[in-house]
Amino acid sequence: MMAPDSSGKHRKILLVEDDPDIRQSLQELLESESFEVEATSNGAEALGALQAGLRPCLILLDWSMPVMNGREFLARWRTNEELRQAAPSVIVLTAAVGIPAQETDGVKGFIRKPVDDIELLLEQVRQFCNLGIR
Amino acid sequence: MDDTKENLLALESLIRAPDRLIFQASSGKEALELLLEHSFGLALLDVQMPEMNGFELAVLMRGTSRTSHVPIVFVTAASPSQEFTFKGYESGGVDVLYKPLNPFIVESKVRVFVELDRQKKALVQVEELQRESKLRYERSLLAADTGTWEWNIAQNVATYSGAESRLFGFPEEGVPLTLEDVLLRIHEKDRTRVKEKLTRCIQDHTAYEDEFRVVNPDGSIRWLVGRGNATYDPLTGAPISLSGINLDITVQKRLQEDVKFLAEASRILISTLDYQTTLSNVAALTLPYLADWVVIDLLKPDQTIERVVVAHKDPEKKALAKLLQKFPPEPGRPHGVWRVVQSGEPEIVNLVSIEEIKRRSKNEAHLQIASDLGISSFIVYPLKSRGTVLGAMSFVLASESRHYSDADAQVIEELCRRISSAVDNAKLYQDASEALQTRDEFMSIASHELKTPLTSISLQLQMLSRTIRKASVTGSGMLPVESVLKTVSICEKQSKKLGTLLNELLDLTRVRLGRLELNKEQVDLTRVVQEIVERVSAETIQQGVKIAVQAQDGIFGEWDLGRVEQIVSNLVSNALKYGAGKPIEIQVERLDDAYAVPCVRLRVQDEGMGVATEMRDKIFERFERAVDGHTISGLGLGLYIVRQIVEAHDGKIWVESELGKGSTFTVLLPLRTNQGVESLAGAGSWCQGGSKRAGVESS
Repeated sequence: MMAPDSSGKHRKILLVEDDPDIRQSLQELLESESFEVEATSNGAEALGALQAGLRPCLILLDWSMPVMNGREFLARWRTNEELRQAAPSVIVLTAAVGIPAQETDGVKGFIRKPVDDIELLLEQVRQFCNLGIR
Repeated sequence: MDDTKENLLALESLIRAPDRLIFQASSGKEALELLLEHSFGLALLDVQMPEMNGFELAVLMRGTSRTSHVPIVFVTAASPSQEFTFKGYESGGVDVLYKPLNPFIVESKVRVFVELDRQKKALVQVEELQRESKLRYERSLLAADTGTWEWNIAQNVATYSGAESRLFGFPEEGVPLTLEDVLLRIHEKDRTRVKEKLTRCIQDHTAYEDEFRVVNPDGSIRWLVGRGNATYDPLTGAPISLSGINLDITVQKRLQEDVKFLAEASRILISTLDYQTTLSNVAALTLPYLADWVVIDLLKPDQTIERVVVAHKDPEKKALAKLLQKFPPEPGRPHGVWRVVQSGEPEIVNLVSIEEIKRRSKNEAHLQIASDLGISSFIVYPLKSRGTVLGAMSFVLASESRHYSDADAQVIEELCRRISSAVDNAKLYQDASEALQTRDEFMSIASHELKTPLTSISLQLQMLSRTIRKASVTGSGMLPVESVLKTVSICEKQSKKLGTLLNELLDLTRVRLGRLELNKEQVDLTRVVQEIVERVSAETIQQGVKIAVQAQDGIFGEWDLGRVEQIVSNLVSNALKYGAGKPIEIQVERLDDAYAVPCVRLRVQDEGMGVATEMRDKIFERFERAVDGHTISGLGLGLYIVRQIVEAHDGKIWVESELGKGSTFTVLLPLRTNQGVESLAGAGSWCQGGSKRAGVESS
């Protein structure tokens, strides 16, 4: 696990995605833009990272995953004050349509799969992860 | 009558006329014989005769009913005297004629008697006609189920005729009754009203008309319509009598009620597509109109019977009736619901005996419930729609006071027809909604599964394009070869994955359309298994999974190579997916003697999560998977398609499993199939029970 961020910069992103190829591509993309990426493959691993002290500026959360999916992760995040303080911003990354609104309550945005425009994705990420912006 | 031939001739010539038939007798004996044979209007008797004289004959005639009414006129050669004339009257004569006869007097007297006789006969004829006409009238009344009645108001005496005795159950010979006697036969709910109507029509000088029920001695109900009018004393205006008719309208009433009942049943049946509720409501409607209690059984897809509704008219017996749900009809019974469901023919039993109920009961408890509920008569009617039996509805009468008539059977038939079509519609609707929902879910899974590789490709290509742009901006113009190669390899892998998914979708369509065609050739199954294991080696090394293959070299059969590869690769990738990283064992074995034809057995065994018992058949169905939801990727079509391929090869596939300990998938493939490609219909027929035998082997 990564050490808690002490630099005051918020450029750390928690990526939660079960497909290894997609996970790796996104990690490379974000790292190429100088973001730090903590890559996990399901909700349970992501919870573990947060509990271990990770303070990301953003969680990029896949929806359909084994072990713990996006819905289950969000349900815990929403009801746990500590988790929400550790990671206040979540963007859901999904191919699914018609997710009931209450299940994504509190998230900051959506990125649709297949990701048609990575520049737009980076734009969305930058809103939450830049110097001085929490 | 005269003993002298000449006298007879002379007299006959005197009275002869076209409308008169004259008989001659020369002795009393002869005369008597004629009298017994014919019906005479007048007898002219000579008094002085040998053997039996005229007076003696007359006395005999008066003593016999057949001849007593024949008027007698004596003819005599004696000198006229009052004594003689009196003697004639005494003997029963109406007149005495003294010879020599005056032709005019004789003729006029004979004419009078002939006329009298004619009138008498005409009168008899009229009476006959009257009697006949009255009989005919009575007969028509009876035939029309119509009774006539008259009530003498002052004396309170009611008389009746026609069908009245039958309609009310009165003695046929027609005894005088009081109004109260009559009213007692009328249903208590109608009695007061009928009496009021009778009173009112007398008071108001209006016609009486009312429909009312009569309770027969056996407890059954008869509907009558009564019509009548009062007569009044023309001087005082006081009512004298009330008379009229009663007509049996039970059949019409029943038809009306049936129409009303069926309309109400239809209203309930179309009110909702939830047939469980609908059937309970319809069952309630039939009580007590058609039955004291009813049962509805429906045939389930697995051919067992589900007891859907048990209802009783008596609220206190509802709980008891519910107990019957514990005794659904047993398969194979030669009577009752099971027989009706099997044959599609109704069963009607009126006045069932206790022995019969015993015979039909499963055990003491069942018998006890049945006899507590009461069974006197019953109808079990099949519920059929589009030629298929859906179940049966049983109508039971508990008391012997009622049994099932043709009219009941007819309305039950119609009701069951309507119920059947409602159940059928509800089932079709349910199936259709389920199919739609399954398809929607499948579409959502499929689109997610297709988008995953697409996302990967899209990301890789966009990143490559970024890299190229950066390279040109920095002016180096150099592309990092390694990075490009990696992108290409990922894109290749993902596009293959897309292709596999699309093939699965196509296979699904092929199977659904029955177009899974096999291109058979000599295939070495051992070789196929080894190749597939080789193909997934990168994955297994990465996951640290060991795959052990036990196979003889060269197990050849006539199969479709691509399809056999599909079988093996699906089973292997399932074992990897669900095997929890534990070792996987694959066996390929030729079985030459175990089955009717030589075949090969492929076993893929993992030590993963296992398959729950209730899922073991379902996982081979479309869109099913052992684990719920989206936790494991894939379309959920793999095993369904594998089963279709195996069955197209006349083979068989099954799974044995223990939760948490792992699963073993076994495929039996005959080395060659006789039927060839179009053998889907007879799939696996050669190894019926094969699964069982294999199960025994492995346990």
